[in-house]
Amino acid sequence: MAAAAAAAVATGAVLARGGGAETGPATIRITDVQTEFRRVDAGAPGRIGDVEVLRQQLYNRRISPRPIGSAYLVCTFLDRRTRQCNGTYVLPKGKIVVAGALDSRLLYEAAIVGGTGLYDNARGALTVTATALRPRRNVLLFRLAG
Amino acid sequence: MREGRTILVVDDEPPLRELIRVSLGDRFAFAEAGDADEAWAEAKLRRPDLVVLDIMLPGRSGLELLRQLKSDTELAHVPVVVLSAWQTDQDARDALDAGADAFFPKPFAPDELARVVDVLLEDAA
Repeated sequence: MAAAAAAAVATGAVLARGGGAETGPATIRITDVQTEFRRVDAGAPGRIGDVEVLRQQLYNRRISPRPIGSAYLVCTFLDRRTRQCNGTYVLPKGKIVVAGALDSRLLYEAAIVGGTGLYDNARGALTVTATALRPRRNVLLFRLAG
Repeated sequence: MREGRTILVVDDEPPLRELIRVSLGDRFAFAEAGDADEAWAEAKLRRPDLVVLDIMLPGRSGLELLRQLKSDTELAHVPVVVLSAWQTDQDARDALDAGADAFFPKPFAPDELARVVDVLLEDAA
């Protein structure tokens, strides 16, 4: 992941870099608030094929009470519980794209499969921890591989 | 929400177990344990629908119990809400790696815990 330090500046995020190098592993910690949630019923038993569509606003309260970006996720149920999710996090100067199968949206990990702009060719993992449900809030920890 | 479900509350502090019971209300039946070994025995006996688990327990830790639950064929499907006084990102990842379905810092908001339990039970239904 190139320009990790610049990524931190762009998001205002907490970022730790390994080894003091200009490029390399980095961590971005931000939060989200869910602003929209829709579930589309596919009509099949056991939720199979149902789709959840989520929109979120992204924050770094340490630097601003205003949103620093937004996120869009689409999850398709594979069975009663497990869903395959794809998401795009729109951050200042770039996007991070994630994907993964998860059983619960309360605590999960997804792969960072790519990005654009500052996050071009990003790889790594995103850990999401729900902190509240009304409104739905999460802590997002992007661990970008070098 | 299906009635008659059993929740296993695992915490070494009886007042906290009571707080959790009160937070979740009388919609559920409860089993309780003060340490990991007692919790394991209760889980095998009662087959709970959900476990609320404190990390810091006397003897074996809550994470050890969580791994044991998730590796048991009869109990692996049971959702587990982890409560922890430790609130770092690494603590949440450790809980996730051990198989937790939700991670809640202490002190917790009772109504939020109730909502989380409802979401997990609905997903597991």
